[in-house]
Amino acid sequence: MGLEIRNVTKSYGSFRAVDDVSFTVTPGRIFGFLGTNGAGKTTTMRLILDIIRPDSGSITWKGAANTSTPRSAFGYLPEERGLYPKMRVDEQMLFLAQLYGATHEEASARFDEWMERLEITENRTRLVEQLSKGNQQKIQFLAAILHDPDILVLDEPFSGLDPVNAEQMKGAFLEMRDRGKTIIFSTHQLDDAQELCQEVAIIHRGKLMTSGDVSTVRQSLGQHVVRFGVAGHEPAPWLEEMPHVAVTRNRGDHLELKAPNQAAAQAVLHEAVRRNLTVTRFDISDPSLNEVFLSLVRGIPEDSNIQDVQGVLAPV
Amino acid sequence: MDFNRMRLVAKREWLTRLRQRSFQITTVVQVLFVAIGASVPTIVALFSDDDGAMTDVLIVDETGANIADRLAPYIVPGDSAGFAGGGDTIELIGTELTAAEVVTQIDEGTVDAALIVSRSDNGDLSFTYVSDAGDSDSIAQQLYAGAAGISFEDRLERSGVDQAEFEEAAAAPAFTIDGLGEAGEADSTGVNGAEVAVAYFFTILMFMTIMLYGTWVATGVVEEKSSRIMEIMINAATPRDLLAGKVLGIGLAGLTQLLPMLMTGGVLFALQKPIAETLGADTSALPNIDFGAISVGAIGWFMVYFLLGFTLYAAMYAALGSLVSRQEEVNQAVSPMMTVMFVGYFAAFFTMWSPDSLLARVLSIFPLTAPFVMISRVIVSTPPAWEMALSVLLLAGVLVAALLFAARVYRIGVLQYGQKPSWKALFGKTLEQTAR
Repeated sequence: MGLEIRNVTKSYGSFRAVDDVSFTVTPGRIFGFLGTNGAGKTTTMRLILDIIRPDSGSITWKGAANTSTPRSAFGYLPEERGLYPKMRVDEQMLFLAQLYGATHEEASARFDEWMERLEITENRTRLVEQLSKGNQQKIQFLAAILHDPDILVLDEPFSGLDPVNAEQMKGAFLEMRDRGKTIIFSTHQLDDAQELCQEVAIIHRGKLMTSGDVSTVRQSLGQHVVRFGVAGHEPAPWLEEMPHVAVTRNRGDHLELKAPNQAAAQAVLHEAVRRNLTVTRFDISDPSLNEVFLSLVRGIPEDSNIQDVQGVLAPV
Repeated sequence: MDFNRMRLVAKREWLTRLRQRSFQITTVVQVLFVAIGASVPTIVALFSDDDGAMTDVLIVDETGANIADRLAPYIVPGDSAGFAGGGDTIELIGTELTAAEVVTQIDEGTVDAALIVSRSDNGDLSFTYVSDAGDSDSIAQQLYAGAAGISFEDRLERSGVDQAEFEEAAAAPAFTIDGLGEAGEADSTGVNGAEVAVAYFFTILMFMTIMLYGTWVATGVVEEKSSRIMEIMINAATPRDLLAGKVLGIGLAGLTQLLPMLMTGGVLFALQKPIAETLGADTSALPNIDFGAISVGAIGWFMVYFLLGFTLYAAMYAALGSLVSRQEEVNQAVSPMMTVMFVGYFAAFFTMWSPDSLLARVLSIFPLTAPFVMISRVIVSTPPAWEMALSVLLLAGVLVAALLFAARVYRIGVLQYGQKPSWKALFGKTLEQTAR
């Protein structure tokens, strides 16, 4: 029993920002909230935080309504970053942590620790407006965690970060999870989600498309992705003859196929061996979150390329 | 209501203002300005001409008729004639010097003035007043009154009228001066100039401070919206805590700026005479009116109405500020409220001249105009206690209502960018379902 969102609906005028959405976030896990821009991610997060209230439905944390959950239980990194530009970093961080209910001593100790961990100690006494964008974002993250909340709600935490800072942010995520925190973050960078999350929900135009364990969601299409490569440059018209299998993408040194089941995938391997081809790559996996996402949102994953790669086995 | 959170927000607001260079400069300049203003009468007294204060008049008596003693009763001792006469005081001194010697000494400046008394050919007394100064009108007038009296007595004496009959005839008339009201309050309109001056000062101060600090509240809210920190703040604390903390913090910053100025002015006015005496100035030249008493009372009422009035208007400034997204829109958003403030402000000036008119009484009780009108009224007049109590209670009541309503507007407004909330959202009962 973690964070339970039950049949939540929120409208602005005639626009249904969130439409009868239900999902569960297991405590102590990293939960990815996926959707395109305007899908309702930010609205749902604000509803969870009780910044706005739903028209109908309920939100509970460990059995109690979120409206009666103390503010200090939540940490929030809003999509639109916001801090006092002309306030010193240390004063601002301690102010916000105390506003959430932490004592000065607690906040101060955590501030020191995290400044160290994120390698930004030299920025302690600077004004926020003097920091680089990446560092501002790290400070913004600190503003969400220094009061030691149980639930972190982070709206697009990776947007605008360079790869080095993004890695540090991911490290911070894992650290917080290891400390038993529940992390909910939204993103439209699905690789980040697949790398970090144990659970996801996909929301599109206010409606929940799917949610649950990452592995369950990835299996939910009822498909397997087969990555298949052979030596040489022979075209593979024979692949088209194979039952139930379709080429979805040309990845250069291999092709991606979709197969409804293990048997259909294995049949491809058998056929290649029978034709005396040297198989350089063969693996079967669940579709990536990206593929699940796109197939749910659009119906078919990136089908525009399929015609081009039909009948081509080797790299172009 | 979480007082700890409110205190945190208030402290941040207060410290932020106090650290601003513009705030510090304004505070110091205001204190200097008031200190100079309050010291003007003392400085004037310090540098005013000493001759104007005490004039020694030598009596050269060539008649042997004991003129000096007989003249004395006609001269008002230690008279300070207020503003117009420059406070001339006359000291009569008998002398054995001759007229010529005295005139020489006046020329040299060692003697202020002299009255030379002789007898003319027909036996009447003849008076000649010799002076080095042009500003001796009031002295000459007093001496003339004395000379007329002595001449009259002298003529009667010489014509053989009985002393007792004469004294009976010349007895002073029954003439009583009955100044109604307090000292220093006498005018056909019942209004005292000094009080109006003080009322002017405090009315303007009330208006300027409420407007200035209220604008700080509105721009502060818009700043938090445009820098988007509001979204974090609103997650960490309730809108009510944030609103109350902001108003409290900026109010405290305002007091931090106001109190040094008011205390400087109040202390300087109250201690005007002691300071002047210490500096060796002639205090008789200072106005008789007790600026100190007027100012101290005014400061007390000012604080009451400033605290209530500022909080009322600051709550509205915050609510209106929360409805817009950019600084440029603030003025437009607060303009309807400003109109009400202006009504109170101008009514306050009207009130100074007729503090007990119906309009003044109504507007000094109506909460939105009371801070401006009542401060003016209470300085120039003494309103009935029930009107004062009603005014303060109504203001406090409306203040609470305004705070509650402002918090509603605030929690809807602060997260909206670009669009105006509907009246239904502001007044509707569904609010609790809309936002925390």
